[in-house]
Amino acid sequence: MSISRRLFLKNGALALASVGVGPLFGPTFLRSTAFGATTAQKRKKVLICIFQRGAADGLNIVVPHGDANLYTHRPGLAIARPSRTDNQSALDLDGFFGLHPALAPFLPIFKDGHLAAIQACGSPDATRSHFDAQDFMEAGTPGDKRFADGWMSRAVLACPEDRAKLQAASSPFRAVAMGCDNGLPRSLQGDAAALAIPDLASFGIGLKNLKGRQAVASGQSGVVDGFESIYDDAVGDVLHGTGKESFEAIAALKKINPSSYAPANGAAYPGGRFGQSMKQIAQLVKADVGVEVAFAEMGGWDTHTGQAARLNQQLRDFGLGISALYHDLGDKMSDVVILTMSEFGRTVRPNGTNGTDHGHATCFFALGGDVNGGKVLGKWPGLAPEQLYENRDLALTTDFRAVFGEVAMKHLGAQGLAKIFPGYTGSAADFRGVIRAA
Amino acid sequence: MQTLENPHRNSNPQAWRSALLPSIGALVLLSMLAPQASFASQPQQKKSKVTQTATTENDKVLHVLNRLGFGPRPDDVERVKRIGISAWIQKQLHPEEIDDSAVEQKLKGYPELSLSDSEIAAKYKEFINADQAAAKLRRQVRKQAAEKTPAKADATTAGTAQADPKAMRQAVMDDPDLMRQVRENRQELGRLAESIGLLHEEFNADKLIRAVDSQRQLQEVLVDFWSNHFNIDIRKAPCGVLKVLDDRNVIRPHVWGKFRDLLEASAKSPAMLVYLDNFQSVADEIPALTKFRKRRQAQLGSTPTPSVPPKRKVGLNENYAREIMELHTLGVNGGYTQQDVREVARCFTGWGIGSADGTRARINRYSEAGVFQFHPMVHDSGEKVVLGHHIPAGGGMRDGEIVLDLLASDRATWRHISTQLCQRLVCDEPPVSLVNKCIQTWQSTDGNLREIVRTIVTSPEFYSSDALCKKIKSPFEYAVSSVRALDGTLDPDALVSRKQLLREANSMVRPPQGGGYIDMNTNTFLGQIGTMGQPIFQYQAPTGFPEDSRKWVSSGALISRLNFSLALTQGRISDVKLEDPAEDAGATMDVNAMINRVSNRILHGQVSASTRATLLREAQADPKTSPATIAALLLGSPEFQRR
Repeated sequence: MSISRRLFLKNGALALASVGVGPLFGPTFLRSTAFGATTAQKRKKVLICIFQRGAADGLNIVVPHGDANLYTHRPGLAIARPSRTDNQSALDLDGFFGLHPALAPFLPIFKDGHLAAIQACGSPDATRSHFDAQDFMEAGTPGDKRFADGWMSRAVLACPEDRAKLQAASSPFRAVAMGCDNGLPRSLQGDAAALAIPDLASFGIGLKNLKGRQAVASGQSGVVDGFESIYDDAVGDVLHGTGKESFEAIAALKKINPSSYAPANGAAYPGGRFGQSMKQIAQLVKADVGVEVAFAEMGGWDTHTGQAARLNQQLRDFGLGISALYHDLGDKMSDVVILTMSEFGRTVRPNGTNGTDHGHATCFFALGGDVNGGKVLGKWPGLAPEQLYENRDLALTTDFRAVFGEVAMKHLGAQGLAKIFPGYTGSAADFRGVIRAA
Repeated sequence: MQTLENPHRNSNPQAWRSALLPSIGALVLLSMLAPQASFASQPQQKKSKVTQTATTENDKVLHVLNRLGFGPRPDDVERVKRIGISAWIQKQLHPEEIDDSAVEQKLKGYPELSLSDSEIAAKYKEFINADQAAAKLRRQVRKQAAEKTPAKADATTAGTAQADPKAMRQAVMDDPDLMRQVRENRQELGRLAESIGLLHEEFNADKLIRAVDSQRQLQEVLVDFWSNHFNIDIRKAPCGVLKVLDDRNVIRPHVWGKFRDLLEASAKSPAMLVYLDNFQSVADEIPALTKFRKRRQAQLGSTPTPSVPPKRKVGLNENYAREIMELHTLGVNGGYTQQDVREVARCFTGWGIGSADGTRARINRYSEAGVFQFHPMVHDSGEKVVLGHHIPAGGGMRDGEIVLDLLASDRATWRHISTQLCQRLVCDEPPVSLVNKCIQTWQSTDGNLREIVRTIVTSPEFYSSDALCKKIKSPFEYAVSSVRALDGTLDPDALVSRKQLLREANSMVRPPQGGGYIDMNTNTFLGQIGTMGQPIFQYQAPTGFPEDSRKWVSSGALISRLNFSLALTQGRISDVKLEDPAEDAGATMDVNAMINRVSNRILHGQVSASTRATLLREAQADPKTSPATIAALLLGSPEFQRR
């Protein structure tokens, strides 16, 4: 593994001093960390958000195996207490919580202190509608439908330097949604321009097939120019802006070739769409085309039936995809935070079909150099019957806006919590310590 | 559904006519997509001359062809003008009076689709049997392989014991009898999978051909609407087969009928019962089962056997109960509570599927394509309170029917569905006045869907400036309207090319893992629609594809549309037949005449001055510019993205 835990040590210079190595003899990245303490704020930070659509069952993902009530409520469905002898039990994190065994790739990252889980987190709004809850979470305004834009778009605009960049029309890749089902997700809609890329390999005009990037026939460039000028001239039309972003991105992408991309550090992405999204986000971030926020999604978490097998498969892809992204980005992870989220959790008790129905609080993950990792954060509300939300769900102790807000402000450098989350009355005092103090 | 406050709402009724400055829709969209600041700083474009003319009959004709159908074929505009707009609408509202024999003739050649429900079920069962035999063989092979290599058995990844493929191959080769069985099974499975896969291909082709070629255009629009409203993802096994039956028995027969009947047909549709899990939902307490267990316990003696794992709990599943209220009827703010969700779930316990021949109840969903059956044994027979309405104990199947009555007669349902219909047919934020008219019709006709559609399409709101050219086409609408604009057709044989059969058949039978299989083959019409973001019948969440057309605007979507227009006009989509462009006299015309001719056939006068100027510039710069190139640019233009 090429990423050493030293890389992320809070204070580079101190760390080097303490192990007795002069900065000049350390690897380049360590030197830049050591001497870059004052310039750290200027290095561009990146946030990658991953939405688990369908309501992921937080209780079987970061398993509270230290809470005996779990096993009373969920006989046969709960993940067993940690055991050294089989591979079906929770992987212990801190003596109370454990990871679902399919999330084994997360364990070393947690142990290295670069991965944190936030338990009993979610939206304070009571809705159990997937579609409303996703919308509320992405808008950053639980219970309030008046806003048409998304929290990530607002967060980008709340970064002072990005405001200036916005006028200067910088990279078309500043905000990117990769491989999303419905084009541009709600999180990225708004006043900051954002790009939706279904698949990097086919993001171009007149390509022969999904893999190749060569033009179909000679003389086609004329048509492509024609498209560009039609959209260029259509000033005032909504599609003008979309066209402009698209053609700029296509031009910038000419130097990137997704089909010949080789992940670094032996990172192995799982097959399927989610793995592909993870891989292509890594490629964009590494290509230095100016990505600041990226968004990907993974469906299939709505486990009403046959949950055990389905969740196992989901988490395998989820864990492999995210850990591959993490390892692939390597040293760059010191400037990247990966944040996962889901609209709500699932019922504490199983339903009648070996699954779970729509619940309330769930569990998020954060990974990266800035993350205060190796911990399960948040307050555990307990699973005793009287501690449950509406006598059926895990109660909520962390408002998702406290997590999103902390990452936006302390990692991205956004300013003004209320600007990012209109109507939110919380403050920095509600932050859970997801991001390490600088 | 509540409409959002739009800060940019522009009340200038003339604005839409600037074909490139459709102010309101554009402003709404722009507020979502482009930097607000940059929009504000853009000088308002001067309206060109075209924009000053009043709504012409031509505009209205194009509007009805774009909304009550999948866009005009080149001759359609003249045809509608000849018979008159209202007469044309009247005919579309009564499709049974429209001769559609040409399409029916085309579809007659599809053998699998011509089978009856029970024949399809029988074929499917045969396939499943072979599939299960294959699984059994695989287990056998794996076991033999494991016996040979016991040392290797432990080192596997979490949760999934994987046999070494090399050892498995060897195990088969070492046993001639096993080898013969495997070979025979593979052949049998291939043969049966081909017919199931073909059914699936024919089913997709049926939808595409009808949309492109049917004279009953409004009917196809409404079938698409209702099929999306009662969305079913065919990747959830065995919905690939069951959705074929849902389309013919649930959606198509009820599009012009009463909503209540459509709702009940859907509630009893095996495809829906599987898709939203209701077929598995049973009472939390089943008296017969408890009695049976007690008796067993008494027989076995009172000591519980410790080796037996805890009994699998059976009981309620809320999935269908929630979605029928949130999506199919009342709407998310329709006034129901979590308690109502549970009570409705209790009412629908026992609404399940049984074997197609009616002999066996509660079958495994993978084992056959079942039919609706009510299973009184597992129904929750207690009393319920739904939306404040008391449902006495012992109602049996009637409980669910009472729920359907309650939901279908609730004003929230009328409002929710009227709003969605108006979104499809009129605009993304339908005026309250129009929705209220629909609600009145709903009330006076007891939910007659034909009359509700009539109310919409004969209203003044339908022709308002907020409606004309304001919807962005969905990828399906875009693809179909492009073929129609070029006066093209689909080749029924090429549509079922049988290339992906096995893969598709497999994806229909097994539950999707990591997203399932979406056809993204850009050489086929269906694959192109999937690539543009709307894989037909494959939307995982029960919402279906969005009715709000603003969701279709994004850079990635735009690029795939431009690619589609190129592939189509260059003849690279194998199952679309276009008339030979060489036959077009375009080559001998001067560029101006050529551009006029092509743009009149495709956009019928609704081409903006700036697009036209670009076309002219391109054509003059490159003397080899063909009518096909002009067509590609026009199909890719902002104007043609709208309807």
